[in-house]
Amino acid sequence: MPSRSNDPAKKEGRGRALWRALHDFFEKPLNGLLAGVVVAAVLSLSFVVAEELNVRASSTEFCISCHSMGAYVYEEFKQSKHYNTASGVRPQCGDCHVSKRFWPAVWDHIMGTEDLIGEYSHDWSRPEVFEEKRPAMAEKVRMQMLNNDSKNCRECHVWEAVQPKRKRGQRAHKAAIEEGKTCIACHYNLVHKKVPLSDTFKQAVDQYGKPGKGLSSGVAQTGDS
Amino acid sequence: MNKTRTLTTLIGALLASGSAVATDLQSVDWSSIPSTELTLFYPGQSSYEWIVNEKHGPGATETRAGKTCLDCHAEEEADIGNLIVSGEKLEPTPIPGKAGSLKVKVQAAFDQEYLYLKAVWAAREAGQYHDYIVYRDGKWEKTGSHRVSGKVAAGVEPPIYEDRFTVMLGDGRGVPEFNQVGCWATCHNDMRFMPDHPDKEAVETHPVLGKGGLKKHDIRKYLLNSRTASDRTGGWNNTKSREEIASLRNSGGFLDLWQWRAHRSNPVGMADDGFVAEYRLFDAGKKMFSDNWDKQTNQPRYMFDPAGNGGKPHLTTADLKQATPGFYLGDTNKVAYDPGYAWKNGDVLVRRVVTGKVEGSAGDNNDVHGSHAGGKWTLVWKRKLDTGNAADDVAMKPGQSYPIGLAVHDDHVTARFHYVSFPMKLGLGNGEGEINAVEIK
Ligand code: HEC
Ligand code: HEC
Ligand code: HEC
Ligand code: HEC
Ligand code: HEC
Repeated sequence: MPSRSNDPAKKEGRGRALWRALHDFFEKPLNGLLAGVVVAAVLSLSFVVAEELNVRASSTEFCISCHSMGAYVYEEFKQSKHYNTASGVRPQCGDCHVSKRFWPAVWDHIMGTEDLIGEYSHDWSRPEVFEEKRPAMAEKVRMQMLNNDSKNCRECHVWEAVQPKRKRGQRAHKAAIEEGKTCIACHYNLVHKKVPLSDTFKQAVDQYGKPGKGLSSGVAQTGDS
Repeated sequence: MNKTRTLTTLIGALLASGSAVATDLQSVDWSSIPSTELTLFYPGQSSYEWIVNEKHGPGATETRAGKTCLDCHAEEEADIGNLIVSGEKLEPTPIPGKAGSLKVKVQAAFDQEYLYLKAVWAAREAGQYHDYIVYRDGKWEKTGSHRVSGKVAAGVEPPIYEDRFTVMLGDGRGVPEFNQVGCWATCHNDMRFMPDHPDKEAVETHPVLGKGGLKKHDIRKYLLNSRTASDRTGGWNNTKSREEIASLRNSGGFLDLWQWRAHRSNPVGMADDGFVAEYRLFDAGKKMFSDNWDKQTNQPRYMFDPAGNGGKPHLTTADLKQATPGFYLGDTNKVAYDPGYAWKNGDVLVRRVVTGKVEGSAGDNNDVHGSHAGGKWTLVWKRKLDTGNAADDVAMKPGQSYPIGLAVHDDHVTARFHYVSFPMKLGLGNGEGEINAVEIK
């Protein structure tokens, strides 16, 4: 059993206490898949309740109460420009990852219960366990953001109001707004460790909005390797 | 001496040709031809693979979507160069004190037969010497190299490398990616001085590029159309078959590449003529420079004719500081090497021989003259629009536009340590280009 005492983001929050209890429960061999499903359903409900009670299930604190989230992506986020902002506005994990509107948020949390099982079925204290899964996770997030037109980004950023400092940004935004592109198409590898783009994501991006002429190329790139 | 020589050649040429349709390069009135000031910048290791992959962030997305570099980066050249040259990004071996960018003033003109170019850029030193050989204890040793070479960086050898001005030109169809990404179409992560360069042995044993083929020892510019596949490291070893490569070239799938060289071509009033396809190669025929080295005897092939060199067959290291009259071994000042001469330690010979007796397509840039004065190079260039050598030259026509990229090697550097331009267009009388050639009569 990995020790979680060296979790850099250790904070005995409500969420964490709950997970600890659940973790003990799951360690008992008798609890099988069925129990998992039942618990997941119950939890989803409790997430909804939590939301309603304005317990911030989207808060950074809540998210990083799990080792998998706290040890890696959080540490990376702390180095990013979204953590250290001039205005002091500091997005929470959920601001980017959990829908703002109520029912979609409920759905996200129900989907999130899958992570609960994930949390205890892997030894996340080993970085290689996380790294092995990271590309697939990043891909999932990117595709989600692409498919919902980066709606969480737009909760904070009003695109037309963004004023890129450099010429490249000013020109790119002007063209991209006209072409109906979306934030994640250009602003990937935003706050966590850099993950190479998959061919699938590249193709999805290339087909998003008003497609451009495409890369003029003498050969098809085989891409990832 | 250089000037008189050129003049005599020109007069000779004029007399010989009889009907002088074209303008004599020296009499072009450049003051009536509009000029463009370009900022060439230091590109570091920003290869094609870097440009189209995630490290280029939004730039990769938009390059894949078909945008050109200038769509985003126009007027950012100096900033980009400064960032990279500092070593902060894309440059693992920064050169201390090197400037991030270089301004080049370019003018262009044409008539029905020729293209005329003029370029002016600042260069503290003329850089008219190239590597040389020194006599030490009975042996000749090669010395002098570019700034990033291990021995120069360690202070064992002096930095000595010629200045260069390069033109890369496409026909607009044969290599479509050149129109969009310019010279980056030829720059890959597995070329020399790039992150994924293969070792010498791997290159030498490669069937197409190595001992049984082009006889290369390292990887230089190549086009992806000559490869069956590529990834984030490039695609050096995935060459297509020789037949496919040959047919690509015959159908125009190559880029023209001309290099004016302060040591190896300027003394004879020329620039070399090459092309990029499966490798960076020279056009067919005989070019203007070769090695002053006999591999059989391990000795120089030539030495200076003492009669024209103050009575001595050699130079001294002090001569290398500035271009003395005999700074190159050419057609008229060389004699066969004399091993019997009383060679002393420290005697210097240049390691290259330059000749005006060029042949074929390799000699198409035979009216190109650079002069260094007041901390500046001024280069004038005359070339046939259509050389008739379709297998290794782009043929130009008045009224058309051609994708073009420029580069300058300044201050003893080679390979990627140059200043480059973003992809541009050269317009011949149509005003479409970043560089617009005007018609002269
Ligand atoms: C119960 C512990 C736990 C909590 C609490 C938790 N996560 Fe996770 N999360 C995980 C695990 C485990 C995974 C890996 C799932 C897998 O194996 O694919 C994961 C995966 C993810 C992913 C990758 C994409 C995906 O959907 O699988 C994102 C994004 C993510 N979590 C965000 C969050 C956010 C935001 C919060 C707070 C709202 C949060 N997590 C709370 C354990 C947790
Ligand atoms: C909670 C609000 C919030 C959300 C949600 C948010 N951002 Fe930001 N973002 C900020 C703030 C604040 C800054 C810092 C701006 C400043 O200091 O002026 C910033 C900066 C940026 C920057 C410039 C810094 C950099 O990292 O290059 C980019 C690009 C950016 N955001 C893109 C995004 C994208 C894409 C998303 C969605 C995945 C997103 N943002 C979601 C608040 C937010
Ligand atoms: C077509 C690509 C593209 C898209 C789509 C795009 N951006 Fe950008 N954005 C850029 C570029 C290029 C820059 C300049 C980056 C630089 O200077 O390094 C930039 C800069 C920014 C900045 C930083 C401003 C500064 O200079 O400090 C923010 C914030 C930002 N974008 C937010 C967004 C948001 C939010 C969206 C979606 C609504 C979005 N962008 C969509 C290309 C894009
Ligand atoms: C400003 C928006 C933003 C914030 C804040 C943010 N993320 Fe992310 N996150 C992203 C984006 C965008 C991706 C998709 C990967 C990428 O950056 O291209 C991502 C990906 C992930 C992944 C997938 C693995 C990976 O490395 O890509 C996890 C897990 C994750 N985030 C968890 C979190 C947690 C936990 C927090 C809070 C500590 C958090 N994120 C805060 C934008 C954000
Ligand atoms: C969408 C606008 C856009 C286009 C088009 C674009 N770039 Fe960029 N470029 C960027 C952005 C943004 C960065 C900064 C990337 C980063 O580090 O996040 C950049 C960075 C660079 C850099 C590194 C120096 C620096 O300032 O960070 C070079 C070199 C470069 N680009 C060359 C090119 C070339 C060559 C092309 C054409 C083949 C090109 N770019 C096309 C947006 C663009």
